[in-house]
Amino acid sequence: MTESAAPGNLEIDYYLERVSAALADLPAEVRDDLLEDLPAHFAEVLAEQGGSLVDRLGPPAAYAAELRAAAGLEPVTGAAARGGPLDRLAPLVTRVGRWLSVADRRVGQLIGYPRAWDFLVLLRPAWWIARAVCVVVLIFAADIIPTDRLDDPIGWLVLAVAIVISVRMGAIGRPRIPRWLGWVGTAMAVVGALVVLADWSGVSRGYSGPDYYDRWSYVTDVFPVDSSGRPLRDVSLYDQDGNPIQLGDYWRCANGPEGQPPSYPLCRGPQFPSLSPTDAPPASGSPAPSASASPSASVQPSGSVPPSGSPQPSASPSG
Amino acid sequence: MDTTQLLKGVLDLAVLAVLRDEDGYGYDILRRLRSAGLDDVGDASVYGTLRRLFQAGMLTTYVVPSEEGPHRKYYALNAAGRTQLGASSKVWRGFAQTMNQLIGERA
Repeated sequence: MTESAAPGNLEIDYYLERVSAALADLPAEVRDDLLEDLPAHFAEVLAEQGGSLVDRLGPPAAYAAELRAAAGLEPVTGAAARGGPLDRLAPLVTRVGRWLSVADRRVGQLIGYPRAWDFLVLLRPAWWIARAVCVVVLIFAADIIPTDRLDDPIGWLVLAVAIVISVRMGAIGRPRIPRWLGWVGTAMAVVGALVVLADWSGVSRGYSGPDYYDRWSYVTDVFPVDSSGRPLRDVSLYDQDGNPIQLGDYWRCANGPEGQPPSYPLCRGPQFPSLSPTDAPPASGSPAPSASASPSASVQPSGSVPPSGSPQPSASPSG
Repeated sequence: MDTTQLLKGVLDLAVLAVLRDEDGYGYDILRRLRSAGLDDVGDASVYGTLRRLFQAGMLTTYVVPSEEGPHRKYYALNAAGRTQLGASSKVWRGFAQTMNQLIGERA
């Protein structure tokens, strides 16, 4: 007839705490002795009668007063007997507690556990690691140690130490810190880490630099060479759509000897003395790649023709 | 008339009485009292009374493990409890008789 005592645990704990608070004036021994069997008793009440403890037994303060009278212990006088504001909140808290208990079971059924809480308990080690990561993220973000990220061995070391400490605290309660400090610290770490992570994309973009997402944005000129390293002159480059690639800084090239070429090289590149620098074909307005196959460039004239099929040689460069 | 007030005086006797023939745990005792007709008996009153009678040396306790749910603390009458039950019963019978006569005369 007794079902598991678990369903009302939260409610029982709360009710018992309020009863205990109302008996706070009693010597601890007497009070503990008086309350010793109440959790089991409350569990029976819930299992047998259903409803909430407040429904069945009345407010905790009243229960405590009745208990005190029946047990023949001196009643308290004054404010303590009336109960604090928490006692007036008791029905609400009890209701929320029962609601949570029901939700616990429902969600549990959904995910295949007796209670959702059972599942969450299994995740505790993962949580210990997660909170350590949160703290380390904050440490990095606050520049507390001279490393930015996990690309530094020190960063990994800090993370490893944090995880070990966090797991130890979770598993064996050592190193020991006051409970409230733990809660406050954890809350700050999690919230802080969330803020940092929300800003993470901006941070990482600034950090990783442009070469992470655009390796070519710093390229201002290109020098094609052949297999033996000799510079290829008068080469035109086209992209996959047949548009001429015009790398280079127009203003840097403006005072070059060649003026403004129609396509690559926008600049003519360094003037290699071994090659005839000046008799390159005139920068004609015609962009046809075949026109750029200068006979003076002794190296494979055909190589200057863009890959077959890709460009339309007639495409006139815009610039 | 408020039976709660009456119960206060006789709850010790009522608890001792329901333990006379059979040991019981807290909730069980409460149920016996209620099914016997003491509907108004309070949970905390019964529990507190049990603790007080135990402290007074009239009850012994033993724990019975339960496979499902909490372990149960059973209360049993000891010699002192039986003596007390007998004495209190005598007092109550006398008192009840007096009251009955009183009521009978007036009614």
